[in-house]
Amino acid sequence: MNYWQNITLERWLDCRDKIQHDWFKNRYLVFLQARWKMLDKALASGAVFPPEMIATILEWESKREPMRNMIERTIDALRPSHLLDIYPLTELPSKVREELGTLADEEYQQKTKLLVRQEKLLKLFDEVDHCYCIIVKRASATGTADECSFERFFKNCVEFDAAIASLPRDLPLVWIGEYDIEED
Amino acid sequence: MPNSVPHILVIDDQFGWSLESRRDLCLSFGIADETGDDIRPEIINNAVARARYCSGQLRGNNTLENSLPTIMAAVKKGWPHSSGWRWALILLDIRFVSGTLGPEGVSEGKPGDSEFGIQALKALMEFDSDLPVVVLSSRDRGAVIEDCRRAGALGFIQRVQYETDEQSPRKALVENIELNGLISDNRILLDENNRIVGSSLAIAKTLRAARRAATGTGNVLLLGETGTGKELLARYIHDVSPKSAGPYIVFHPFGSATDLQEDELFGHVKGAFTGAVSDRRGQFELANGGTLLIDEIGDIPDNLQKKLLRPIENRTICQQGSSNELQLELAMILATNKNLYDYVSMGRFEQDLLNRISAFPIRIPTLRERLDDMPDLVYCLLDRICLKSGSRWPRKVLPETLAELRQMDWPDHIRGLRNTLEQAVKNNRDSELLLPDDIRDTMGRLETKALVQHKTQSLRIDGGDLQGLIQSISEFQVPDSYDELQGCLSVVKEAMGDLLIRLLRACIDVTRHRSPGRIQNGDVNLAGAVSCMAGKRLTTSQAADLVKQLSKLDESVAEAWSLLDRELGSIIKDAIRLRTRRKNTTKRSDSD
Repeated sequence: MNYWQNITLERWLDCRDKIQHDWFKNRYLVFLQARWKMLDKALASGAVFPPEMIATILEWESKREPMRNMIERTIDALRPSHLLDIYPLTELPSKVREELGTLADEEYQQKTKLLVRQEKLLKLFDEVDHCYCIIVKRASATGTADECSFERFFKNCVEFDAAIASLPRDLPLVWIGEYDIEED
Repeated sequence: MPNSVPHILVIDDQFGWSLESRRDLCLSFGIADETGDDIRPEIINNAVARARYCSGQLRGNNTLENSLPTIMAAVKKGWPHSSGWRWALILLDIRFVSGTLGPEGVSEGKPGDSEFGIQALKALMEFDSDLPVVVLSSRDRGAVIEDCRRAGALGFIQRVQYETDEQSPRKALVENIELNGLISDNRILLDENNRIVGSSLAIAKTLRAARRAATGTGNVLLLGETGTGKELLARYIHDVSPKSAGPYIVFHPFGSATDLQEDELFGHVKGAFTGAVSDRRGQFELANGGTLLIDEIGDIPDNLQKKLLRPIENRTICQQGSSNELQLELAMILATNKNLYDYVSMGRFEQDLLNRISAFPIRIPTLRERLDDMPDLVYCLLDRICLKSGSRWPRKVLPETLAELRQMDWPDHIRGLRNTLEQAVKNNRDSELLLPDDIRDTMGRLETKALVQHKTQSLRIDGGDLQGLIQSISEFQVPDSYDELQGCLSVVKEAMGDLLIRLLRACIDVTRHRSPGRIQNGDVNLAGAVSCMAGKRLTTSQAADLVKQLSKLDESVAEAWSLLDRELGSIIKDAIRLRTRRKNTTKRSDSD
């Protein structure tokens, strides 16, 4: 089964933690924050980057796809209808669960404007990726490239990261009143 | 910024293990790595801190395990360190990724990883709530700050931020060290002879409170016994405040006659009174744009207290003889060695004035509370004394001499220490050593002089000291044999009951009512007396309840005292007779 099919909230959050939190923010952005000035100087003067720095910059290549997939699955993952898979809501008649699930999802997306946020995230992702590609092209001196700098790349990354961080981290289930289940 | 570079501890799984990431963090934040496990640490110019890193984890056979003991061991190493310094700040991550290491050497993660940081924070606070912990996180601030604050963190630093003129990671760290860090700061205040010396926890906490107060807009109230250095601390607050470029003015009520104090503070216009031949600016105006310290605020006369309400609240004054209001822009610091809450209960200080001046109360530690600073203080004072007197500088202070100095009571605190050292140097001009005998001889001579009355928090019971009594109780070695412990409860209860009744009697005596003419007429002020004892303002019924509880601790003692002391006896009897208000009675008016 494709990992990304039928993504559950738990798997999505796990993925988000690993890609966005553990790698992108904790490693990639920390590196860019410390080195963008030095990297821009090297870029401007045509100097050679140290190999370990090249390796770090190129980490984006392997993380690009999982990052994009994670963003594209945001709406699927953050659906309140997933909570209907938790007992005792599983005891509801299936038609009720279906209708309730659809209603809850629509309501939630309206309130959180999740679709708009996802679209913005994808746009920001594309800007980061575009900037990355230009820099790598310039750095490897192949073909022509528009003006781009590590400073701009870092700034785009920070904006992108803030947008991901602003997504909900949970779908809390709140019990109101008492609920009795008739035992068979 | 302080003269020496502070030591910080960074507890973070990633920066603990990954040297590349650590170098990047050091570069961004301007930290020098002192951990000792990196053969190529990043070279940092003008480092703002010296950091040691701890991963908070244990590495096993292809696994990483989150480990509280590892964190505790790292913290304890610098709290304090064997060479005397202590952590100025501890940066703590929230999420620690543990579990089996994958093919890229990265842990897969386990449930509970995202909460380990908060767990560690709680454990650290339980170990010592004075630990200056700041969260270093890449999580969104709003998501974690509330949990972290509740668990005891002092602040939050984002590990990644886009640098602008106003903000940068380095600036964020410097701000956190200044606002939340425990650092010694012996910058020169006024002149070479004035600096705050010491690196003990007590003085570091006081300096931190001072720096926080300096950045606020409220009035600062310095509370400290005579000789603890209130004026020095006030000067420090001015020097670290945004108004440090402005004037620093000090007003002492004892510096001028009572009827001239108002003129000194507010100034006058020409012709305001006989003798006012020209305009005169008062201390308030002279301090405009800077800081005004009103020392000994507890001794300001009553009429002047009322006139201070407005300037202290909204910085508006009128010169004497003028109806024009002047709006000023200044910081105000008030200092006292009095217990102002007692003074309010006694009717000697305005409650309204107390409300206005106590936005930032800072208590200055006594010398006994900062004995760790004794070596620094002694050397600094000796330096000044010898320079001033032209004496040969005692090149060495023996450890036995420092131990002797630590044993002493120091009711006059640093002033007393300075006097003792002055005498010791004077009596041993050409000596190269300061011996314990030099101190003992000096103390012997000082004790023959009149003793200084201590009006503040120390209480004297039969020639002893309350603090000393409490220390004796806490150091008391509890017996461990059945015979010795048998019946101990009644003996201890009797002694405690007796002490509490005697304390009550003392408080009654110092808080008797004043008549409208401000002469004590002897009436008992029960609420005032018990408020004094409790250290906070109580209503009459709360005071009576407390007296009831005291008398019930050992009823035989209360009865014995009642027979010996008629007044005390009737106070206790009246308190016992007062019934607490029942909850279902009709609510009366507020004047009840």
